Amino acid sequence: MALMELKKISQVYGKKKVLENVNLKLEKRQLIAVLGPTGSGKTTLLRIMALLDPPWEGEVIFMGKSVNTKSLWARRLIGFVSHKPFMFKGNVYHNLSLPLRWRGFKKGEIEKKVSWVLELLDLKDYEQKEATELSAGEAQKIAIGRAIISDPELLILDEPTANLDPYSTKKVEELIRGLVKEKEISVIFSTHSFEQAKRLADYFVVLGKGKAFPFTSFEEAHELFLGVLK
Amino acid sequence: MTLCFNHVLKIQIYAMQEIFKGIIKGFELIISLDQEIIEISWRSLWISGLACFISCIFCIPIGFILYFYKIPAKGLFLNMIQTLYALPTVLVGLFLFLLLSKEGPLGELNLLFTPWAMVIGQAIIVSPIITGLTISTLSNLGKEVYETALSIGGSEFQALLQVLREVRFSLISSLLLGFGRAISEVGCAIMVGGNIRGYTRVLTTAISLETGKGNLELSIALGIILLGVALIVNVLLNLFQGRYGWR
Repeated sequence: MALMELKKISQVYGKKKVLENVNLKLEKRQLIAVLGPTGSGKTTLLRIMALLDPPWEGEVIFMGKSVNTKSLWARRLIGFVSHKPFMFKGNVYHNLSLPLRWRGFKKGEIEKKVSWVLELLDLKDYEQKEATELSAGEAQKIAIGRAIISDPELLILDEPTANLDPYSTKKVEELIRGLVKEKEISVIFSTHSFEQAKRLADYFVVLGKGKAFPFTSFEEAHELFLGVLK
Repeated sequence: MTLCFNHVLKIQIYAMQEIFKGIIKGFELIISLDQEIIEISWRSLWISGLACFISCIFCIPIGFILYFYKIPAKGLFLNMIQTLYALPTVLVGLFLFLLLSKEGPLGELNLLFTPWAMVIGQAIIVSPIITGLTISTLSNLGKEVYETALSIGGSEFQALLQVLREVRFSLISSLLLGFGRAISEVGCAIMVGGNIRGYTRVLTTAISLETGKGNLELSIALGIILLGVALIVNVLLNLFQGRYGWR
């Protein structure tokens, strides 16, 4: 059984059809890169997968069940991090503990999980730091930590390194790779960078003219991407 | 020409003297803890405070609903709310007077010329401001906070509470603005309160009365106290926010 399946998904903004009849299948423990030029619908696709926006047409199947934006159980198994993550007022601990508090975890468990995530992110001393004052790289890492702290099955990252310097980019990439290996979760991320897609992903989805084209080979994806750009 | 100039100058000097005397009188009244002044100030404070509180209970959720949910004719509602920012207080007074007067549909409640009628009137006056400012506050951050909360597994209700938590400081500012409008309005307070000594007389109606009587000194003194009351409320709220780390 596929972890997530998109069936004939279409999305419209005003009169513009951003996605048209998109079919995709995501298996467990996959690391997928979504490539496409600006405005090709990468964010739109990821937001539909994160159950934040309803599609105009089509169906989203998650763990064998049809889901929509009201499916709280499914949203609780999907983590989403936007390209410019928002930090809630309060310290890092508050930000990391919120998903757990909302799921009814006890204080002791929350403390353990926050420590574990901070260690994983290599940000051990950050617990008491004001989250809104973090650098872009630190905020991105904390946002990823906040999305994975509740052990999701699927992590969706919208251009996770778009605003980061090369050093922070490397750290975030290591983190993503580590998550797939150690936590055995599936990760799908969008990117403009071929190099990053090649470095990180096992599978590729190229978006263009409203359509989605899945590939297992980077070279083929690259070739099509260049074609789409033309 | 010289005669006219002298006349204008005399009036200006007279006005300045009155203002100066008023300021001194104001401080005298405050220092002497004049019973009637304390009573009027306290009445102004609780009537306007309660009106704002009631308005917040209804208008903040209305603001959230208007911002987050799809509602037919939403644009029309928003335009109406913004138009009502400048709602004339006498018009509200007139409307309430007709509703609450003996022959009116709510006459049986016997609320006319009571502080409760003033609370209702002021709550109506500040409601568009609090609703409008809630929507405007949410336009800045609301969607981002809401979606972030949903994306980390919050339910819709938890996400809305998180939004409320994030924007609380801005909402308090809206509340203060509403309080300022409520405590300074006079038209509605006179029409539905009646300016009854010891019962419905508040600072603004007292100022209006004293000015009418030509007692400018006392009017200015009451004006200073009115400003002082607004200042104290503002400072206390800011202190409270600082102390409890609301910022």
